[in-house]
Amino acid sequence: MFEFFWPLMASGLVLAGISLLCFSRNIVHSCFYLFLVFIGIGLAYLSLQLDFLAVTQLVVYGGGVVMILLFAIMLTGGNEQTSFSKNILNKLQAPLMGNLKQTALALIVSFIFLGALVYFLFISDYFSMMPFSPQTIRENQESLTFSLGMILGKQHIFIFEFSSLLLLGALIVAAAISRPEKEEKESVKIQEEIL
Amino acid sequence: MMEKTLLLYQLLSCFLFAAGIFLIFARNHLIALFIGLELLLNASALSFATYTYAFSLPKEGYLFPIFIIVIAAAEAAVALAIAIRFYQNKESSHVADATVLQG
Amino acid sequence: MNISELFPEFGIMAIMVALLPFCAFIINFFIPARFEKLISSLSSLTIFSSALISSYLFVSFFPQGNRVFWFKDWAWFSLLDANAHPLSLPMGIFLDSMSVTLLLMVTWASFAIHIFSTYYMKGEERYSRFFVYLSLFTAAMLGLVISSNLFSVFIFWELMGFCSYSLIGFYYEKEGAGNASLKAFMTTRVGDVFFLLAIVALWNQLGSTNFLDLTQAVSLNTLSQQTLLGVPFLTLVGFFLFLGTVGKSAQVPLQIWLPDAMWGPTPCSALIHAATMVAAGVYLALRVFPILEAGNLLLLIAYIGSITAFLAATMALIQKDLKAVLAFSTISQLGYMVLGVGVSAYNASFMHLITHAIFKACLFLGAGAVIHSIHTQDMMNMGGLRKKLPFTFFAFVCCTAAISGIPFFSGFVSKDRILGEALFLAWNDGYFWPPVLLGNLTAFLTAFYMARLLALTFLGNPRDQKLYDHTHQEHLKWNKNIPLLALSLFTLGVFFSGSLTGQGIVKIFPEPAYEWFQNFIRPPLSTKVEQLYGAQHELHHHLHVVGAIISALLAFLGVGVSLAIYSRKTQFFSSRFKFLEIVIEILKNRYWFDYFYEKIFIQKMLLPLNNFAAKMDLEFYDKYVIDGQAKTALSLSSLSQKIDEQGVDSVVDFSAVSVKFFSAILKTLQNGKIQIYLLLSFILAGILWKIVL
Repeated sequence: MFEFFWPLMASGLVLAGISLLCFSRNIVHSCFYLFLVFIGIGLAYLSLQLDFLAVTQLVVYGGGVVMILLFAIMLTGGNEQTSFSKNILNKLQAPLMGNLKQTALALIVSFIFLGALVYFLFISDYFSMMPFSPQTIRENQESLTFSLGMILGKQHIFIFEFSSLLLLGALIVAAAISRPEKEEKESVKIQEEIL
Repeated sequence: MMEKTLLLYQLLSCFLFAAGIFLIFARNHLIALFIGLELLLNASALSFATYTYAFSLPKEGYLFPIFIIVIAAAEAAVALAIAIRFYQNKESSHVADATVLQG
Repeated sequence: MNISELFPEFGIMAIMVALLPFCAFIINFFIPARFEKLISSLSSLTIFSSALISSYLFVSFFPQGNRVFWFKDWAWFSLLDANAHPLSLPMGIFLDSMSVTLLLMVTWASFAIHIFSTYYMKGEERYSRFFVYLSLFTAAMLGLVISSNLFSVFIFWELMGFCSYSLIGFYYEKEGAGNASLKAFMTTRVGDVFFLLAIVALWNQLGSTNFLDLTQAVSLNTLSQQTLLGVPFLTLVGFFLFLGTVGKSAQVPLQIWLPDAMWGPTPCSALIHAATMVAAGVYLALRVFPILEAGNLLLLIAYIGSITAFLAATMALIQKDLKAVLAFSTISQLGYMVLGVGVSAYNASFMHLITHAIFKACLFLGAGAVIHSIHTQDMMNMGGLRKKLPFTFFAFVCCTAAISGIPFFSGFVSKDRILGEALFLAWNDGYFWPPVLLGNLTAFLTAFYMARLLALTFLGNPRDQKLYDHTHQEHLKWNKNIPLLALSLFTLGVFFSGSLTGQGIVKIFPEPAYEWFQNFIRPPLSTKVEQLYGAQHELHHHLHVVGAIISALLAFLGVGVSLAIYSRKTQFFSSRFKFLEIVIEILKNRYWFDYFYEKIFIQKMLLPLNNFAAKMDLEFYDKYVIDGQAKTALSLSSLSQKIDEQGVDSVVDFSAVSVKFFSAILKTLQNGKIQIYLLLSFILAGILWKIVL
């Protein structure tokens, strides 16, 4: 294929994914479109010859995060077909995933952010700051995995350990938060038995 | 060519970011918010990786997307826990029902 | 010459004289009223010891003549006047021949009256209270006599006024007594106001008011050039001082209180209205005689004195009440004393003061004895009491002779001397003839009405048989008769003058040693009369003899005619001469002085003025000024309330409303939606980024 093929493919996937994602009413559909976005980004990494990064992305994001999100959807009420919320007056909201005001607000804010980002993208004269030298030619024939491993193991070992600790902490927190309230029910039962 | 790729990926990351923001502000479902959050993180990771590749910056530049992914995974677990807890309290998974702070 | 250094003990003795009765007053005030004997004996004992001390003082002063005095004063407080000169108010003692003589008379007379009161007031419910007042009164009078300056004279003057008020109103159950006591107090008050003004003026000018400084100021002519309110200073001051005398000694036009003062008990009348209080006025006039003389007031004084004497004598002619006759006769004799002052008969005036005190006290006490015996005061119901009350009759005869001016009696000596001096002065200065004529006429009238009193009371036949039968036969009682007889003893003329009739014609005792009174009492400065006419010794002597003969004739005539008429009838003249009914009407109304004061002066002049002032105060001042202030304050407060309500409150409400308004805006920031909060944090981050970068 022409050189620009995979970047375009990746971008196309990502863009398709996000556009479907933003305007779908079904939350499960949104999760799958998210998966598509992840695949697209993984492809983008691959096109940059970042093997480790792409694999990590696909495995962790695609295999882990999306699954967790699906579990979350399942455990919190499932897929309400309309995924509309009911307002205070207990009326179904209009389509567009909520009310019109919210969508309009979101559009405004996202466009502001987009505008700012694109502005800063084009205003920054990075080409003059640093030479543009893509790493197309690998001088030392090292794989990315090896390089990153060496960095993590030798120079940035602390952050590596710390991040493992962080993960541990996150798991414990998650378990603690989501623990069902069994003990109160037991105590209530005991109280009822006493009385 | 490479400049174009770089530009393309940067723009892509911007769009991803904007989409994430849109999702956060527009959707009512809790998980939808989290999806938006994932998009944000991915946008920034992509941007990092692209710049590191384009300018042959030190290899630590590739560490950052790794860590973003790691943190996002952990965060997903915590988000699950929060969503379950929120559902247990409010019997609903819509953010609009979290009105305790309203006033 | 001041002998205070030589005899320092005299000061303490003088203070004791006044202080002992005062201590009796204080002690008696606190003793319960049922200890009657204790209280009366305490009062009497203290006055007796005062009498002894004053006798000692008199005897000490007597050989030294009239040029020594005893003077000492102690500063009580001092103020600074406008020029930062200290005006000091001292209290001091001044004893000279006049003071010691007066002390002697007052203490002994008061002692006699105390003794008599134990008889008279027996059985009274407020017996003890009477003695309390009596002691206070005596203390005040004695304090006045030993005072060295006009201020302390004034203090004791006012104290005596209060005692007179209490004593006249002693029988306060009777309504007349209360009114009379108030009348006495108020009338003397009028004179006292002017007295005080004079004292203040003198004090301001001279810096002191004691008698030595006054005499010195007059003699050195230090005040002769100054004027006060356009009038020469000494004239104005002297006139005001004399007004004090007019009030206290019941001269015209302030004589209205003394007849009404008979509502009090008789011993009190004896003490106050015979011996002491009314004499205090004349004593003041004598003390400030240099000022009166330098102020050219003597003619006026002589006129007032003679007019008073004459009017009072006429009013006494028609009285039916025993004590009323005596009251008017007191006024008349006081007029004589003032006349004496007016004609510069300093010595004679003072002698008349002393002799009048003695025989008038005796007359009052005798009247008290009569009233107590016969239980009535109306002479029309008496008569023929000489058999039942022989001792009282004897005292009465002596005193009536004295007051009428029968020769050999003290009254003749003193009264004749006054009239002789007046005649001498009138011979030289023609303006004094009217006082002389009035004085002699009054002498005749005095003899007439006093003999009438004697005749109606004691002579003739009893007119009311029932009352006559009820009176007890008199025995010699220690506290009833002895004081009377003792006093009547001193009505003999020999005590006062060496010669039989006081003119030096028939000398019983050799001169000059026995003209002691003449030599003892002298004015402090030589009078103008002495200076102008002093050289005319022969004329003086002749005129005195002529005057003596005239007054003796008038006295005999009056007594004789009166006795002849009134020992048989009670009315003679009014039934004969019809025109006298108008005269009697005038006299009964007391020349309408009372009527004028009460109905015209007070009702028509003072009362409307008072009402006008009250109306001004209440309706104008209260309504507009004070209520106006209140109204202004009210309107101001209502205005501020309006401002508060509408102005301030609207600001407060505005702040509340604005808070509500802004909170409504701010509330949208807290609508509970996560996304909004997230947006806010983005906005804030952007703001911070802008600020920081």
